[in-house]
Amino acid sequence: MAEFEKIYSEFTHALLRPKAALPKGVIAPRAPNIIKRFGIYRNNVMVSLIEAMKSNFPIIYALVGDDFFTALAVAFINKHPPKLPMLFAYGDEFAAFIRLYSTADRLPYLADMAEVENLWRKAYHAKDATCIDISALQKIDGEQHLKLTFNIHPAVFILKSGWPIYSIWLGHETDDMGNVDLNIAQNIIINRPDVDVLVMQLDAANCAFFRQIINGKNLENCYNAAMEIDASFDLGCCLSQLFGIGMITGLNIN
Amino acid sequence: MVRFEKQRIPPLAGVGLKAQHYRNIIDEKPSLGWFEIHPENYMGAGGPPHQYLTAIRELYPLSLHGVGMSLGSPVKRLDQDHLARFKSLIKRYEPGLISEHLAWSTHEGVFYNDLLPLPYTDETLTHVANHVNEMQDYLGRQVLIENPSAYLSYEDSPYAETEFLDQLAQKTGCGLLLDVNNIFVSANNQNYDCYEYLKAFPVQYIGEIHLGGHSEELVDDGDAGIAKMLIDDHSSAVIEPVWNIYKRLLEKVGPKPSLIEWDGDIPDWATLYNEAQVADQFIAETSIDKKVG
Amino acid sequence: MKLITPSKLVIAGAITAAVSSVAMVTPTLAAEKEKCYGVAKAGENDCKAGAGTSCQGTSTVDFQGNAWSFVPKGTCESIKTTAGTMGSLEEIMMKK
Repeated sequence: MAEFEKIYSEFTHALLRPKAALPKGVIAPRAPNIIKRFGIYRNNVMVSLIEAMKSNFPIIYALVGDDFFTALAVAFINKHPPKLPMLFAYGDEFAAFIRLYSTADRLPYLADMAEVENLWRKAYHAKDATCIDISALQKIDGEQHLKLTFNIHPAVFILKSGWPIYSIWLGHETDDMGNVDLNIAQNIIINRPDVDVLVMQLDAANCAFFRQIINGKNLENCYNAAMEIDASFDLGCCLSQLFGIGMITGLNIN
Repeated sequence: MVRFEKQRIPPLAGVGLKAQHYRNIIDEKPSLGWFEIHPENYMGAGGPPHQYLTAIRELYPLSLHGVGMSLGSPVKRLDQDHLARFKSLIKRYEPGLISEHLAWSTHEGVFYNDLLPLPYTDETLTHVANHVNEMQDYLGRQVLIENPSAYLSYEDSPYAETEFLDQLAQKTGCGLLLDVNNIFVSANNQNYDCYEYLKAFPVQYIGEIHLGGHSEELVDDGDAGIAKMLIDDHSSAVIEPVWNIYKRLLEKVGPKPSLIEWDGDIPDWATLYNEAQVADQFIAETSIDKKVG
Repeated sequence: MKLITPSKLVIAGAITAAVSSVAMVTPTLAAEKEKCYGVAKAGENDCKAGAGTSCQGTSTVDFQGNAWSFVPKGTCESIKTTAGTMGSLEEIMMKK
């Protein structure tokens, strides 16, 4: 083991623990207050990671306010410090962390909203792809329709929730939470066909259909999954939306 | 995807690219030598960051200034995934310069998002040199290494920072990036003279210069009184004493690519652009002096 | 020869309908293009020191009490149940 490896371990141990002893051997020439100087590093680490969390979870931040968010972020940072050196990718475990620590809480929808923000960021940074137009369907032989599968844009994500996640998302966007009804459950689909990230609501049948599509199931399976939930499911409408929001990048026959 | 040719960074002022200014730059196409990015912010697969960066790269040369390689780590090998991400950005954008820091930021699998100080010993010199070699070999490019700003140092640190960087450049063939504001910040915090540091610095290896702002903070040192600490927060304009060191440096080394870093309390584009023009003015004066002399 | 299942007929009809009505509005998806989120709303790396001061740093790190003992003071305060009150724990538990 390198001699300085030990120093680094002491250094990092003290970084996230304000009461921990300072690493041996750190000095500041002619400056007795080493704790204050080490505090600059403690500050750099903690404040910058809190800022990263605020940037990555703007809805959670707005929902709970600065004090609550900061306390939550500090607890999260201590439990799940970043593993990757890219801050835009930090916070994947935040939703699970909130869920674990908020079983009996006033904000039961908070974990799902953190998941919405995770998926939003994933869509934002996902690989670019070119969507195909619905007219591609016309070129498929009618005998093959049941076996049709779809290539999905890498920025497509679906989230099922027991809470009104779409209304809360929309309330945040429009600065008006007045229309949120906590008695309803909503599902959303997120996509970024080009530059802008789109967030849309999905009813239960459409959600089932889209999930099967994403799982690579053929059109017959997708259709049946949707029909099981809602016998009035409108396939034509669903297909036009599928292409309309830029979800499809290719067709296959399986 | 657009293919770029490698484009040299000119010996002019450049600006650290901020997302807030994407639109100003693309719409106004300001006359400016180059831009610099932190590659970590563009290590996602796609999306707006790449779309904007591509549009800006079509207009300007680009430099990649890493903050996450942790060259000062005691590990045997650098993070191979991070090297791969770095290399794919080089392929995509063909930057004119590549740089990293004399610091560490990752330890035992945790990224601390700060440029932490290392002791300057024979042991760390060997480690850092191995890492710089590994990085240069992997990327197939020379890397410039930047002097850090520091708030603490180590008891057991026999090399002066300037000597350490000199040795590193000799051992690895790397270039150096001299951050003038970091000299000012570290010199204040560690009680040495900026101009002595500059005199000792191996200026022949300098490939790029950084300029930025810092803030002041008072620390109670008890019986020793109140001490002024400088914090390298890049949240304000470059102050005059730092410009003065920069001028002295230009007299020694001639025009070099010179970056304005402004990362906190980010100003509007016009203010930032104005800072770059100040640097360009000093560079222009240096060129004239050199010609006359 | 394969049997023609009912779903196959439905699918063929649906595809015809979908292709011929490309401009169809999206009634069930309630598609709403979001307002510009802003390119800066993502954690960014930089090489600056953290904003603020070293004393804030220490106090920030000290801020480690149980987060859930803080009272959330944000837009969540305007989220009401149909009864017009903050969602009570009982309601929430029944719902889940």
